[in-house]
Amino acid sequence: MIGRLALLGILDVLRRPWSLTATVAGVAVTVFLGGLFALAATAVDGAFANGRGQAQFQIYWKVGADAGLTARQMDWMRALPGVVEARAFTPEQALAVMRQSLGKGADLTFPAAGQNPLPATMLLAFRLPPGNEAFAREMYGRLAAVEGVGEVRFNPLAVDVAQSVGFVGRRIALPLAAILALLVALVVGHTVRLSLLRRREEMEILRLVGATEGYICGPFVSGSAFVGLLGGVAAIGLLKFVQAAVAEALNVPPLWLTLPFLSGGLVTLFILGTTATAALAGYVAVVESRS
Amino acid sequence: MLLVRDLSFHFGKRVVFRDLSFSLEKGCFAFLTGPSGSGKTTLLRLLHGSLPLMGGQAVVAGHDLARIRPTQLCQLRRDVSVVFQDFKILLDRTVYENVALPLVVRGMPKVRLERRVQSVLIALRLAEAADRPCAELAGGEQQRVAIARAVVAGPKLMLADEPTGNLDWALALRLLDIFRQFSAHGTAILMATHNRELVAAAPDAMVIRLDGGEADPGGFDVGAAAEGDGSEETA
Repeated sequence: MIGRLALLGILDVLRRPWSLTATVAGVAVTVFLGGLFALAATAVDGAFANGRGQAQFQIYWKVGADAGLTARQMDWMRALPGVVEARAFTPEQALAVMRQSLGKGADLTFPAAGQNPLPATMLLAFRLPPGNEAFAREMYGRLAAVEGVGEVRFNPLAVDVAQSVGFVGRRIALPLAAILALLVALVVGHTVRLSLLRRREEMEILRLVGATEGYICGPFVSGSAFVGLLGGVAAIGLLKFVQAAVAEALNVPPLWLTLPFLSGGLVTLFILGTTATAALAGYVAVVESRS
Repeated sequence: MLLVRDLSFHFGKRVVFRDLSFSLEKGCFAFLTGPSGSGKTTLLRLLHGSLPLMGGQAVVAGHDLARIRPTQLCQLRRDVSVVFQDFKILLDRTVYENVALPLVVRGMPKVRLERRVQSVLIALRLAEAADRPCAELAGGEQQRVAIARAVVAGPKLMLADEPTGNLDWALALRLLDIFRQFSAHGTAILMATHNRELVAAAPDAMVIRLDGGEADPGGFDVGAAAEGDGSEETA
């Protein structure tokens, strides 16, 4: 009986494709906006988690440095104690990345034909040993002294600021997320409830012909839950699309920022939360129609 | 079938009717008349459980409204059906779906349901329109759908609130004839109207007249009703 009523509710919703599309779109956009916040928070959290307790160095070799020697120096750097991440680019690789970034139409011919003006470069991240505050400065000196290295960039202030911002961010992220979740739930709930207002007469007619409250409630709750489920899935699909597009744009030099997608748990929470909120809105609409 | 004794109702300080008493037996056909604002619709809503009982006693198809619980209202509405002036049918559903609705909510087996709906559709000359959405029907046809839905489950009592209000005279007379037929089959019918010609067209019907409300020169004339052979009760 419950399954039949649930199916009835879904069929009722499918009977009105335009109304369904409008409601699902409203729910999806709201959840999408909430998801964007979660995506940004996840990315920032990940970035700060990665940066915490680490020192990063960007090493540039001189243009025209001996390729064989540079490769051996890169291997030596990778083997240094405390290295947690090492990403190296030969001048050819750097040029290829630049071509990819600028597109095929970009003019990358150089005055000195055949000579690549880009230097070899390497990004090195070290885990800072506890209690050794001089480690970063000493490492800077060692890297800058390597033969053929033209420049080493290291900004300890940026690391400190990032850590501080990350700390504050973590403090306010949870309450902000809770407020946003409430806001999304309210908007989703009202969107679904408003979509059911035009079906108020249907509820009234069902009561007139002797339907029990359970019989009236079942299809409306299941239909609303179905709308919420569609909206949640559509929002997550849209988020995945945006994340893939933005992540690709951010993961290029000099940014090299990674934008991970929401965790499986968060995705499930978004979809189930939207479905449950919509179902609750459907129930509220039925209860309201009694008056 | 319907027993009303010393019934009173008010909206705030405004008394709609007071000490109203009458009764209807099985198969009885009665008009509920009175000027606009005299409480015809209020009385029907009250008898259907849509408004709470404020004073007096009302026993409708065996349900004592003074003791009925909200969860029992659906049982009352399975014994008492209603027809409204504005039809209250689902315009996006077919005629068949609308008429079948009371049986569907009762969980009637499909074969029995189809047989019952078909027979009512034939009786009300709606069989050919069975698969058409109600939005495509004319007003008279929509009203017949509402009546078909009201009678399909074999109610003990039918309440009709100005069911001819939107129909021309010929259709109104045909509708009256349909109601009389169902009444002859044992369903008690209480039809609210302020159309004196309609009341005059059924001289043997019982007339329950509500006083009060606003003077309505175009509405019901007590004298016309009194000319009929049917009994008259005045509240």
